[in-house]
Amino acid sequence: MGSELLLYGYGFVCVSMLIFNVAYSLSLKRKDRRLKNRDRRFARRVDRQLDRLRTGEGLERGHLTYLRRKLSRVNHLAAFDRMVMERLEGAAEDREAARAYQREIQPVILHLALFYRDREDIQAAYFAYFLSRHRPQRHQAMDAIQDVMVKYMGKESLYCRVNALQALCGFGSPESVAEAVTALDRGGRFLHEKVLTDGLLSFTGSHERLTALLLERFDSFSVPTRLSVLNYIRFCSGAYGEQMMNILSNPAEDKELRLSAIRYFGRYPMEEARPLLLALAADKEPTGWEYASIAVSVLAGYQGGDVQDALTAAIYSANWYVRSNAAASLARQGLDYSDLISVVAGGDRYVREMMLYQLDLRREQGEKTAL
Amino acid sequence: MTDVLKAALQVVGGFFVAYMIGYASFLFLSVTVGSSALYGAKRRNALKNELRGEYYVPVSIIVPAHNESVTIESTVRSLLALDYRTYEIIVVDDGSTDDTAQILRDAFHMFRINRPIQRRLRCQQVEAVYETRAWKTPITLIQKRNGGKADALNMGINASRYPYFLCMDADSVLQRDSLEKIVRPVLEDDRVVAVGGAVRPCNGAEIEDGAVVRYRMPNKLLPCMQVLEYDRSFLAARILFDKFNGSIIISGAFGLFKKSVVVDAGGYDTTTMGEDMELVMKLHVFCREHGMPYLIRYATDAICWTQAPEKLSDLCKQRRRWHIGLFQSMTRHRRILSDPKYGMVGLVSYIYFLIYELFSPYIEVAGMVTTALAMALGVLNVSFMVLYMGIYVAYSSILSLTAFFARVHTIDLKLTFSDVCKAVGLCLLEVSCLRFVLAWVRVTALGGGKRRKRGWGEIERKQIHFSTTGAKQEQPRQK
Repeated sequence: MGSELLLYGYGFVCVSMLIFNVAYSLSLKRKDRRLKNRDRRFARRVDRQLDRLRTGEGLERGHLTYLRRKLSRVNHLAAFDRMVMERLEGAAEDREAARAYQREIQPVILHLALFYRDREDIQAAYFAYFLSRHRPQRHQAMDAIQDVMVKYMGKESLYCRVNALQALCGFGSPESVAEAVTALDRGGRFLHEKVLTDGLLSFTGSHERLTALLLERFDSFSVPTRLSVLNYIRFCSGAYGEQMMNILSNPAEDKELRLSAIRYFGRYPMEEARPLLLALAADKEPTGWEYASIAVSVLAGYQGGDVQDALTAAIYSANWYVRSNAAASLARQGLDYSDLISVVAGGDRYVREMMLYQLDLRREQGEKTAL
Repeated sequence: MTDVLKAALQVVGGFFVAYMIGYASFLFLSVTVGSSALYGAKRRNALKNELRGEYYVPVSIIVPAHNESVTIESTVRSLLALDYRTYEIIVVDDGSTDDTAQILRDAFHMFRINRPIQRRLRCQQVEAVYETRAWKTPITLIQKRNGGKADALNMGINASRYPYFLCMDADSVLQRDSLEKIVRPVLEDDRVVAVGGAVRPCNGAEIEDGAVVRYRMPNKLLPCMQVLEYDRSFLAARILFDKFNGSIIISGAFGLFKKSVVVDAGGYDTTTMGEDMELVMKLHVFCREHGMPYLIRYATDAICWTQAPEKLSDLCKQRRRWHIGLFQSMTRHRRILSDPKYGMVGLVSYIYFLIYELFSPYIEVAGMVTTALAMALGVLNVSFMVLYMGIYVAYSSILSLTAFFARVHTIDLKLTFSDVCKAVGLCLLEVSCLRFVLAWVRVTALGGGKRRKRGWGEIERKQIHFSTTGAKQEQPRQK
């Protein structure tokens, strides 16, 4: 009897799931149709406003109230975003009207910034994304919204923080972005250094001013944030050699930061860094292999007999990566087989193979270029 | 005697009831959690709660190959079509006896070069290395002495330049965004050491420029049933295990790994057939033994299309190999079960795989034998048995279909009415017939294990429908 009851129980579950699947499929189809109708109604209403703007009239009375109500639902916000972006990518007169419309609805966007700040993270993250596409133009509105976005940096959701950072970088205010980075750092939540670096690189304002602000706060940042900032500076400007030298020449500094500084001098070769790079390349301590390996790679951009000597010595390193990078750098220096005869005809088979590989690779790539 | 037998059958009956309750409950939970996760992911993506393509970490894609002349070029072309900034492709030809290597060399204009490779992981000797940098991304072909798939993967790891590597099969193709999506968990959490992707049978799919342009259920019975089976296991069980860092398998067809951790853990084990599962279990062991915080994740939207065997003989070979691999991995890492340090991995994941994957074919076959015995003794309640089987088939089928439709809805695939009918019909067949056939195959798997230890398992390959249009076709770069 018990077994039969159990079976009937599972039978009931089967029937329920079947009904659920069928009902869900039907409701999805209905939802699609309903959403399409809703989007069409919405589009008609917005297009009416665009027509008014084209003819020099203002928005309809109550339109802003209507938008405040409608756009407080995130699905409507997403539909609105799609609609406006379509018009912004349309014909020239549509684009003009759409831009004018964006300017007119800025009070609504400010209202929404405050509204979504207190909503669940998934919705707040979407609003930040929406903001990056519909940035207010007026200074006052921008300041208020940027303050809200900076507060997003304290949210737990990674996507909230990333979308808000992107929105802030799009605004172009170095002060706000520097504030946001500080808030992110203080929050202590993980943000991959590449995400932060790439976010900063998308900044649309003055990189010089932003860098200055970030460097002012540099010492207060945690190591991961400092690393992101250094990597950002590396991709931005060659004007920070002095700061990089200070980091590189401090042996107590974090290893990743010093390695980033070495890479900086690879991208922007500077004479001041040469002695330090040569010293690092010559370091045979097993614990210093990473410094040696990156230094040797970076020396490819420096010319001179001392560099070639350092690379030729480094190619005999006990560490595979140092050897490999030294061989690649020697090849990039433009030396050929005869210049490297002591290496390619030397007694060390591993060194020979390493160097010949790089030279053969360079030759093959050169032949392809010639073709 | 008859009384004793009857009593024994009652005990056995009780065991089967407990077994089926456990399985049914797990299946229900995993499909519910899995479908819910898929719909949640769809909502998050629609609301831009995602890291978009601008962020990346460099990845080495390793493709071990053995006699893959039919598919290798399509596979590499699909990799060239990836929307990703920095990656390299390494094909390791593990002693192929066909023209796998020649096809690659000709198709991609590769040149021979003596490339030193650091042998941090043991593997068979290199015979030749070819490279080309004329395409969007460097392609390396390493021809080596035959050593098996695990050996080939270790060679690929040794040759790789980047801090992460992706292993994939030579009969598979990726979508444009597959690499970007499988990397995302790494960018979201620095504890992630491995990520599994979703593997789907490509029989019936047409892929153009890295996107699926047309999807139909496969024409043939067997691959069609495997589509449903893959959805049930990938989308349901794996998502559930992902919730508590309990994944103990990442498909060898599509998995991303942090190289330093894999190397420190010893790389792929060349003495097992299930090198994919063995590696993941090894990572759990390694990280826990060393007190390393770690996560092994599953990226539901990172998709790899692979060939499902179309012949029953090929399918049986594949499942036999999988079952041997499962047995080897489970026995090698049995400490996971007994050591409380492994938490939910031991308590849930290991036990699930032990009972419902490793032992299940024996239990199911024993169930059939017991049923026959009970019938012979006249103690079988036939009507109850029929009801039982009916509900079992309906229950499993509905759960499989739930997983299948969850996948279809969440990636906005359009199915025709005939495909829907096919899915429904073949689901019933898969659960009621194919499952028992494969159970028997797995029961007999362990007998010939030693003989097949290092084999690749030869399966007939078909050409993959992967094309690039004229505008987007990858051409050698003109400098």
